[in-house]
Amino acid sequence: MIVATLYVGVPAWADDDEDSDEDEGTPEVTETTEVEADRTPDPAAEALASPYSVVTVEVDESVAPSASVADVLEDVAGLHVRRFGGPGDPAYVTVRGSTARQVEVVVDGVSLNPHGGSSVDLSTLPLSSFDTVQIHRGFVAGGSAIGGRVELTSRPGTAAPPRFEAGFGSWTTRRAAGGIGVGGDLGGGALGDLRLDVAYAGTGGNFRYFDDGATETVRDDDQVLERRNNHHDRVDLSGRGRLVSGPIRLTLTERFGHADGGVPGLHTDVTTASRLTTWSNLLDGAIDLRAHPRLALRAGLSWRFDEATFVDPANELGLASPDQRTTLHQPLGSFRARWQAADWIALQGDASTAVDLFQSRQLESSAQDDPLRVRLATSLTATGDLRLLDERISVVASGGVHLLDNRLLGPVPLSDLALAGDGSEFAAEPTGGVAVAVRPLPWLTVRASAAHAYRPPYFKELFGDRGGVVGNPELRPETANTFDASVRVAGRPHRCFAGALEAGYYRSDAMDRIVFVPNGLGISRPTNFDGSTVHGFEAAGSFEAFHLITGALAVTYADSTITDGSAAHVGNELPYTPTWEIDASLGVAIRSWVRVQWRLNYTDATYDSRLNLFEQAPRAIHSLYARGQPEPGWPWLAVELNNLGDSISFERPRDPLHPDDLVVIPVEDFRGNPVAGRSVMVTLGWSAER
Amino acid sequence: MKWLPILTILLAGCPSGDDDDSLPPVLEGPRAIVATTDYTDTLLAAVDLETGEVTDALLAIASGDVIVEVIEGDLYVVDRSGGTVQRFDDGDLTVAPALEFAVPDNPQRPLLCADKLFLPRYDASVIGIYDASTGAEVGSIDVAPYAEPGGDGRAEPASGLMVDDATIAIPLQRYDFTNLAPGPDGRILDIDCASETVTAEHIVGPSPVPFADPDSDGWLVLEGRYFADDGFLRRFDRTDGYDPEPLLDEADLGGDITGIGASPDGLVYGVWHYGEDPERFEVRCLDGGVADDDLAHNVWSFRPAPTGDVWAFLLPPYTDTTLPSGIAVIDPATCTLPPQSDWLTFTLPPTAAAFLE
Repeated sequence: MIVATLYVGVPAWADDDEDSDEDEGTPEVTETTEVEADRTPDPAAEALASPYSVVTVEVDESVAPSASVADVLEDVAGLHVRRFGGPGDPAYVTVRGSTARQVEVVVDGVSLNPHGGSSVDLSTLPLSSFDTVQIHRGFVAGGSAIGGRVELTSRPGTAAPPRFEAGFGSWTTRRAAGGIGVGGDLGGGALGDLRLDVAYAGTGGNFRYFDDGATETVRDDDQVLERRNNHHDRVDLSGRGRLVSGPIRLTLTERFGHADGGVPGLHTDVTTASRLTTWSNLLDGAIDLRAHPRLALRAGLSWRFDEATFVDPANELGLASPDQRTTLHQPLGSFRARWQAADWIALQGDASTAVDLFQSRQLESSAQDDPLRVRLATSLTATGDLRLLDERISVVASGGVHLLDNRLLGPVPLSDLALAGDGSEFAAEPTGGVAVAVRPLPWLTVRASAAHAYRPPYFKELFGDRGGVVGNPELRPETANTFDASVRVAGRPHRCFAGALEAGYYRSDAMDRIVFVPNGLGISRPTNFDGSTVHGFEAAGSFEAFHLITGALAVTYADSTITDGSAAHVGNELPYTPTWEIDASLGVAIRSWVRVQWRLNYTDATYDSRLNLFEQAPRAIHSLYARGQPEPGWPWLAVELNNLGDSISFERPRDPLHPDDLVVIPVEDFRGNPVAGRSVMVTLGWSAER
Repeated sequence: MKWLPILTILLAGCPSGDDDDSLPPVLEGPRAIVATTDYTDTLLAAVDLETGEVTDALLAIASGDVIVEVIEGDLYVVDRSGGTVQRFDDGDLTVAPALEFAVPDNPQRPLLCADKLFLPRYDASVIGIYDASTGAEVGSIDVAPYAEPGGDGRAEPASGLMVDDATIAIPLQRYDFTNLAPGPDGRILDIDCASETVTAEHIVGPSPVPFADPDSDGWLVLEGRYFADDGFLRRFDRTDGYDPEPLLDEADLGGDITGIGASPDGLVYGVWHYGEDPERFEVRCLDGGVADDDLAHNVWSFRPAPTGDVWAFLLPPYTDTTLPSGIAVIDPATCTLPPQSDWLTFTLPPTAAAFLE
């Protein structure tokens, strides 16, 4: 999929323009002069010229149909994905040693975790509903995320031909997705388009896993079992409409999601009845106004609703997991003004305010519900965007302040803990950064960025969940200083060959990380615990040869160190930050007839805790994907083979102090949660010819 | 530091020799095995009871909730979150455990009685019974019928005590999730080991934690809600029940009792003044002595040592997690907290100990 990404971007810089069909993502409505400002940019081309450390992935036929957002992100240098199991199970991404909470996820321009919200479960995002995935590592203007930002974007309706696909595979995994887009002249000079997408994904989730019977040293009870109570069903509906009339563009987006499934628990404590049901809705409206040829205004208002109901009727997950329903309403208003002061400079101001209304309700409890908790978070950002010397030099500088108002958060649960201060929490944190790109040659870009980022604590950290976590309202925000620099080359030296390569250095110094520290009663309390430094290099390249062969390679090296905190941890590596990650793919595509693609994701062994004692398995996951289609516009058939090596167990010392005493344990990203082994998926689909 | 485990593993591939120091040393003599943890991993360490010498990092366990217990000279290591029990014969941690078996649902301290191991499974309202030689499950006792009436139906059996060679006592903490609080009272059950039946039910205060009373064949029972000044320490006579006069009253102390250590030489206890800013801990003695009344460290728990001393497990406070941790050895007769320089210190904070004699 990275193959497609960088290859698509190449023509923008190449003299050879024979790939005119690469513009197919540009909607018809943008062909009119009236709505020139609406022109959908080529994100891949922009990425190659960007002063940011950014990667854009096109979700096209080079991406296996059943691939998830996690699969896409896994191939990107600098990113590390951790999974709770197989398809449909929670998965989280970290960037350059960050935590998952420090990565912002944005859907069609609306942040799912603005102002330091909780981590986003990637399994809740249907990849098939999006057209591009853009990853910013480190600094991005207007943002404050410590790790970076993942943006999922869907194209307007005019660029979304009718499509339908359905697949079935291992563990009764099934999926179906479809979409349709329409658009055109509405009369009176108005243009409009509408896009609708629907996606269903379900799985029995009963993948095979290695179980050591909870006894590492006893081999007699080792066996391969099927994961139980791991079934999921998920439905996502989305609609996006646009209306363009003169200088005004209205956009309305609606995204709805519902999921229901089992919560399997640890492999040593398998559950049968624990269940999680979620409902989510995101309604977003925006108005763009070209007030002046040099002034563009945008105002947006979104309302996000999330509800999660967890039940554990047989008390299989322990006392720290009471049955409860949590609801979040999050209205978010934003305003942007961009003034193109001159051809070489644009100034932009951004303001956004999110109001989080959160409530937790104990389903078993006769006690009163938690009070409604309200948090206000506001960010004000000013950005200058300079393009000098015929855009050979790009400078983006951004500065702002993030304001956090916790005064309406209410009392702490179990208030006789008296952990809160006077309840008046108000925080202000400056953020900002600068990114510079120099393009001395059309095929060469040298860029660098530096930034100060932060993440304020969120509800669970501040107030706990009345189960296993007691909140700490006195938490300080996490902060980080980041820096990166890289060199990009891209071009088409020969009409039969195109390639791109980016290699660079990065560094991130994080302070006041929030860590959950248990107390003597087994209840965790979040604490500003430690600092860390991560630095290393990332290199990513891709090529396309003879319009037939594509390949990509992404290599990440990370040297992480805990710099502050407990004496037992200082100097150690950050957990879950592998020293090496290598992602490679090689494919052959003969027009649309046949596509065969091999993919490798290698993840170095990484420590699973700050003490650096136990390692997670090094993993080399091979996957194969083949797709056939007689002609464009005809049905296509895809077959995917994932985790060809069926890597579900590995051997390691019982502990580092007994290196000769080897044990076999399951492969897992989170302790006690085995990941899935080999699988096959067959998908039949059809898409109208564009 | 980060390369140490890898280096250790690589060194293990070299020919072994007498100078190979990559393996833990063989320890003998009276010693304590101490569980130390950062709440994610656990390292077992040893303390020579005669010299006070600490031998750190004898065994690593990928769990942050481990307790240790010595029964008939063998060391039992219970991984409560991982659901595993290991037995190291004679406390020898240089070799693989002689016995390992799985016990789900948050197993508590094992008791060996009638050649069977009794393990309360806190999250399942069950006392599991296991063959002491093989670890095979041979029975169980359902204690859910002793849960609080009208509550959540869970009894929460916790770590118990031996009554005599044929009887054990298991407390039921009876936490009620319908009210997010302990039930109004707790229970201590007498269980006949041979018949595996409950033979007596003692009504005690909420969230009971029983300790052996060195001055009688009864118990000292610490009771009361967590994070509340409503508890007591009472002396419980198995025949007559509670002594009407509590030994300690949290209301009088103005804080939550974090634990007690009762040795023949005296009783030491900790008080957490959680409502103060900054929060403060005290270490006191039952005879009225005050070892420290303004301690920043989190007084985690106590354990009486065979020497007559009481070991206090002192952890860094939440407000400064970088403060050193350790075990302060307190002589109850003098009730003096030794200076921090005299604490037993480990790589990780100590949370539990068992003594091999």
